[in-house]
Amino acid sequence: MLNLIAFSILAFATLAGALNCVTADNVVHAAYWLLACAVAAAGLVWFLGAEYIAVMQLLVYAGAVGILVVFTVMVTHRSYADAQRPLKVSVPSLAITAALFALLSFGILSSQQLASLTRPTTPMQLADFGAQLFSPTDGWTLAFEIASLVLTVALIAAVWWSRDTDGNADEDADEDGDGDD
Amino acid sequence: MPSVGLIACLLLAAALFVVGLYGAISHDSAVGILMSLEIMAIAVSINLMAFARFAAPAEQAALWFFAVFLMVITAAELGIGLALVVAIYRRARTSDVDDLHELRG
Repeated sequence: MLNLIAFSILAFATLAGALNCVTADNVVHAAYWLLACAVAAAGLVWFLGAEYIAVMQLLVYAGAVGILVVFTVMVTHRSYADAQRPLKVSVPSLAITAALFALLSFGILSSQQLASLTRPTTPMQLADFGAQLFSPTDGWTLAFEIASLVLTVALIAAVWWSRDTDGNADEDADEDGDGDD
Repeated sequence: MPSVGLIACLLLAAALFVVGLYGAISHDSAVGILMSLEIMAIAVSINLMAFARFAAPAEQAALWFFAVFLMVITAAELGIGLALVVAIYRRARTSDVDDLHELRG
C-alpha cells in the first residue's frame, strides 16, 4: 500500500507543480511546472497500483500534452514580453474556488461510505484489464472504438484548424511553416 | 509503516482540482487556461485511481477504463484547443481571451 513518506513527497510535488503552473509569470515556465505536476501525478498513480495507467499518463499528460503546449507557446507567444503573463489575483474567483474546496472536503470527510473503505484491495493486473475491456459479454469494445474514433477526428480537426488556410497570410506566415502541431 | 487511506488521496485530488479551476477562471492567456484544464483532468484521474485501489476487484476495470477514456478526451480537448489558439492567433494576432470580444454586443 501507499506508504506515508512516498505519498507525502509525491503529493507535495504534484500540488507544488500545479500551484506554480497556475501562478507562474511566464507561460513557458508554467508549461514546465505542468510537466513536473504530471510526472508527480503519474508517480502517485503508480503507487496506487496502476502501473499501466501511470505509464500512459506519463506518455500522454507529460509527454504529448507538454510538447503540444510548448509548441503552441512557440508559435503564438513570439516575444519575451508576450510570454509574460502575471496572474491577476481576483477575489471572486478565489472565493469561488475556496468555497468549492470547502464543499468537496466537507463531502469527503463527512461521508460514512468513504470512511468505511479502509482496506485496499488487490490491484488489477493488466492482462485482466485487457480481457475485461474486450470481453464479448460485458466489455467496452464499442466505447473503445468510439474513443479511438474521437481521437482520430480530434487530431484531423487540430491539423485542419491550425493549417494556413488563406493564402494571403501576412509577412510572418512563413515562419509558421505548416503550422500543424 | 503507516499507510495512506482513500480520504487523503481524495483530498489531494480535490485540492488539485480547485487549483486548476482557479487557474482556468483567472488566466487571461488561452494557453494558461488549457494548462489549468489539464491540471483538473490530472486531479480527476488521481481520484479514479484512488477509488480503484479500494474498490472490489470486479469494479476496478470500469475505473481503469474511465481513466483511459479520460486520457483520450483530455488529449483530444487539448489538441483541438491548442489548434484553435493557433488559428485565433493567426486571425487576431493575440491569444488573450480578454481581447477576443468581437461578438460582445
